Amino acid sequence: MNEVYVTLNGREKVIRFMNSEKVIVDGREFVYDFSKENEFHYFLRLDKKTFDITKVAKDKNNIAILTEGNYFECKVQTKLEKNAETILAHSEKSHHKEDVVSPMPGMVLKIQKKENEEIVIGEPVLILEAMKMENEVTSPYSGLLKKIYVRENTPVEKGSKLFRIE
Amino acid sequence: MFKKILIANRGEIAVRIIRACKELSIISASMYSEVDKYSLHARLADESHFIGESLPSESYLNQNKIIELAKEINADAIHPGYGFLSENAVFIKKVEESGIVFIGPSSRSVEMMGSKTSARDLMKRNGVPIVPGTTEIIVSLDAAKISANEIRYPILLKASAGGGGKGMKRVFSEDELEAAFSSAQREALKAFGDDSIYIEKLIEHPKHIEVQIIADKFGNYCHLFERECSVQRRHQKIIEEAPSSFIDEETRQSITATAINAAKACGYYSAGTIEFLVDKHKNFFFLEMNTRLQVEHPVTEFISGIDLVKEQIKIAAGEPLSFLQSDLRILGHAIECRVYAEDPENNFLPITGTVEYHRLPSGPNIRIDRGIETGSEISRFYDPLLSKISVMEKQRSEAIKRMDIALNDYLIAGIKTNITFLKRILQNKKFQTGEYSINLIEEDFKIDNSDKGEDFYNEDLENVAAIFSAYLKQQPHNHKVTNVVCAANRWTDLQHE
Repeated sequence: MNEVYVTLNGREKVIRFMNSEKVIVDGREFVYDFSKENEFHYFLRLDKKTFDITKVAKDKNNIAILTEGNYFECKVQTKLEKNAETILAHSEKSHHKEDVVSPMPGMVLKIQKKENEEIVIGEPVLILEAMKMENEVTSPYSGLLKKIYVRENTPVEKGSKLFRIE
Repeated sequence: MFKKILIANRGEIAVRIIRACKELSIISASMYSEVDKYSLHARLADESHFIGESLPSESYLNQNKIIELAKEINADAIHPGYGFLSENAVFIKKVEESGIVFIGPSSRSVEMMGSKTSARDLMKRNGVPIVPGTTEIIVSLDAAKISANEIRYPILLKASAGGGGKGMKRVFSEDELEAAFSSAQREALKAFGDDSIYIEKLIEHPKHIEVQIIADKFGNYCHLFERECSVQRRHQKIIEEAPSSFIDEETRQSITATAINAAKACGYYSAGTIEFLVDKHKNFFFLEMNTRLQVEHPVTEFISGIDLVKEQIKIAAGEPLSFLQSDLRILGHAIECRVYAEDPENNFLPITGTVEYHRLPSGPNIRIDRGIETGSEISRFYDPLLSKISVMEKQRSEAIKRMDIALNDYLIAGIKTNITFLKRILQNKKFQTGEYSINLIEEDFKIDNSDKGEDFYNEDLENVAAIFSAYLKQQPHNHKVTNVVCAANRWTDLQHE
């Protein structure tokens, strides 16, 4: 019931809170204590060391934290969510169909590819200008450039769809 | 001495200048754009004045408005900081003509050094070695092809009015030239309002070493030793140190003497920096002169014991230098790290958002220059530099250690930063031995997110991260937390499988 699956740096860890004092991480037991300084700053005491932790960002299943100069992006799932994801993954076809979104607000300066062109992973698709710098937006997948959602010389917001690879 | 100084800048450098004014008992006046009304630089100054909308062209780049403001508030001098109008000869001339003192060099010196092509020509005539390449502007692609073939690939396209890597493109063969040339022109036009491009031979695996000079209006020139700024991403420095571990005493003598000659060639006064590329045989080539205060000036202040901003103000007020070259010696080894709101795993793209929490490191010989604090908005209007951490110790290795610990103590929430990336550089073998060039980051650090951090694996901290995130997940009715962070739009920066 209270098992939590955390994926970070490509590794999965299973966290089990035994009670308000003991936690087991991949079979290793720790004495823990938790204190909240404010919404973004927490103290986690593990055995005899206390860690300062800042919560950089958080949504339902993801938490980004900074502690001792180390930044981690953690995907967090309950047993239930993990099972649901596994079922979903099997039911969907495994090929990539994905919209690529703008990593930041900016201006689409130049579109270097055409729709229905074959794209190799890492190939530049368009140039986004932000902070007066030109940034190449490359494709994270190989596949067909199915759709380009933007036009040259138009501003885009962070997270808005740029193009689709299938 | 001046009674009131208007600071025509924002962020950490405006804060730095305000402090110098206060120490000299000069009234500090800051200006703020719409989004900066309650920012640190606006609040710390003795007085602050609205200058315009958030767009830089409406505010911090609005020349006439700034001069009008200075007159209106009876400021007798303007300090431009770095960036914005600091190296704009037209603006400086307008300031000079208005009867207000510009805290920096004369418009004439800036003009002579402002165009990279004419600066190269000037240096060549004054016996300062320059990187082989054109001393004229390349106007067409055909001309670029001819020059590139003469100079031989690889080459570097550079904006004549340039700086900060804008309008700069490396070209390894002719088939890359056309795309690079038009991209460089576009970037240069946008960044500097001038699309002039010239060509330099690409010096492979060079170090970036620069000399801080300072001069008064009576022709006294001093150098404050060199800085090494070879750790760069996207042609912008992120870690700087002084002195350079690569420079021996003999090279130091010759590079600093050359720098003073370069400054004399343009009749320079105030603080300025001569940048050089240094090849593996310790040959150095003039790159450009920065006719302003540098971002990385704290490392020089550490090792020389000289307050560059106060010195700039005194020189502008007509005072002679307060020290002689023979008074100066290198007091230790200093390192600066620039903390940026950016994503190192995503090509160092700038990140915007709110600083939800901010705690700074402290300790002996740790200096922080910052323009932000908890609650600050990082907008897309301005540079995403959050703060600068500088440290000094006796030896370089000790300074690296001190910096590493300082970075551990730095807490910031709401915005992804390059702190972890900076730590990784400090732990890099080449960096630690000093045997690296300006290509360190692209050679040794993967930026395509394929690096899962195996080299930096820290089981204890991974456990901390895992337990922490699992704990938050388990908290019942945790919705409030999620809403407060409002992370929904920020998660587009974070890549997940």
